[in-house]
Amino acid sequence: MIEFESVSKIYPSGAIAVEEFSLLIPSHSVCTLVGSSGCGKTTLLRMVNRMVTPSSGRVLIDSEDIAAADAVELRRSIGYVLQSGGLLPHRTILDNVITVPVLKGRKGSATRAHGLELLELVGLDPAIATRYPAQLSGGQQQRVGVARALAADPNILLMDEPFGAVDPIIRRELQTELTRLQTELGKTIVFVTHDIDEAFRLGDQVVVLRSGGHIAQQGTPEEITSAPADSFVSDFVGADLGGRRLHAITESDRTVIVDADGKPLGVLR
Amino acid sequence: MKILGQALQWLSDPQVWGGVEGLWARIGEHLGVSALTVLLAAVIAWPLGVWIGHTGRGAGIVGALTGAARALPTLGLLTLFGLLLGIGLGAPVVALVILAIPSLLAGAHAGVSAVDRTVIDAARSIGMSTHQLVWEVEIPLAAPVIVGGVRTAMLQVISTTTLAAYTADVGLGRYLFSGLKTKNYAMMMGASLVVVVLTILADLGFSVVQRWLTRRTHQLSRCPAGEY
Repeated sequence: MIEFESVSKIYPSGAIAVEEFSLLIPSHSVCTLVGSSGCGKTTLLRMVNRMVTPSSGRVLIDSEDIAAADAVELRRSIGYVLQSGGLLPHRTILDNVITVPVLKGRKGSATRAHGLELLELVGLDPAIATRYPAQLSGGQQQRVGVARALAADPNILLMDEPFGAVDPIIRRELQTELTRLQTELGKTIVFVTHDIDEAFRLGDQVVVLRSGGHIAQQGTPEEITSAPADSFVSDFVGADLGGRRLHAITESDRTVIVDADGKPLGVLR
Repeated sequence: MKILGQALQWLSDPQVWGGVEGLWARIGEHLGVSALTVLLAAVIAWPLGVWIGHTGRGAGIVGALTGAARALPTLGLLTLFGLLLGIGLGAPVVALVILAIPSLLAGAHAGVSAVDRTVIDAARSIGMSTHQLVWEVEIPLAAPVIVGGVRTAMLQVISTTTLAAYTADVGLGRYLFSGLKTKNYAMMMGASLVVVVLTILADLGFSVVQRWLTRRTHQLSRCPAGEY
């Protein structure tokens, strides 16, 4: 369980990244923070592993204030996936995956074997273990990033727009894989994105942010779609623009669902 | 051209090469002093360069320091330290260390500060301590540039170590100083050629190391994307 207790982040320049933000993220659930760039979502994410220290307020993990924890130990106990992959370019894929266990002093064949298992778990051929990050495609690098985040078996995964830099088809594939992994592993996942579709697809709980980390609305994807709190949210989820207004047409005995532009989305059964 | 012929003739004499004061021994001394000097300079320049590159603090002094130090005349320094320290190896080593520091400092600073910020951020985010970040990420990734600094420093030091003979009976400079006194220009020319060859060989050697490190640390795609 992750709790934000009225946290703020104000930079010395006076810029307010996050103001009086409070949120409770239950264990074993996926919470997506969604908003445009500059809304403070990455800042909030990075507060959980103390890459950003709040100017005021507290962040608690399982009711313990993380400010009291050792920052390095805390980070090793939390999985982190970045948009760019953030793999170490001078280390092989396997060495990248097992970075955190090795930092914790667990070297040796058991760790390496576990690393290979993780590659398989995220849908990669273990044969790429001896390759280097630059030899992999963007999508593969993201999978390695996920494997690395899982290596020390953390309870919490922080994901900062992890699929933002890959093409839409691969992104969809990675989202499906993450959902599969989550049903298998049941981690507490905080997922930051600017893509509302991604936020809806992955989040048990979705938090729509406006600038300054103010919560515009939070709830399940169904709640937000069916009852947007205000025009900001309905704009953001595309309800007003007709992006989510669908209707059915019958075409040779089958009912096809089309969006506002008349583009077919699928067949109704 | 006549002098070149005489120089080659001097070099072709096996007697010149052998013995405790022969060319081989002098080459050994020369390279030994050069290596010692670069090593001492590295002990001073690397920690400072890595620290400045890591923290980003004091980057301005690198430029100022390297610029100023490069303008210093080594012979002048040698004379100064010779007067202070007397006859012996001390003065030339100090002067050569000062000569070598700017290149090593610039190499370490440039290498470390050029490491991709997202890689550093990622390394920190997954739980590397500052110590691990510096030793396991920044230095390995900066290695090719750091070695580039060694390459430049080595080049300058090997050619300038000839000055060590000014105050000490050491290195290939002996031939130059005694040749000047005895008007043995063939010997001076011959010894100079040896210095030139040593410098070129060292440069080639370091360029190989540098290329190997670059390949190791900055793996480039060797297979077409999407092979897997």
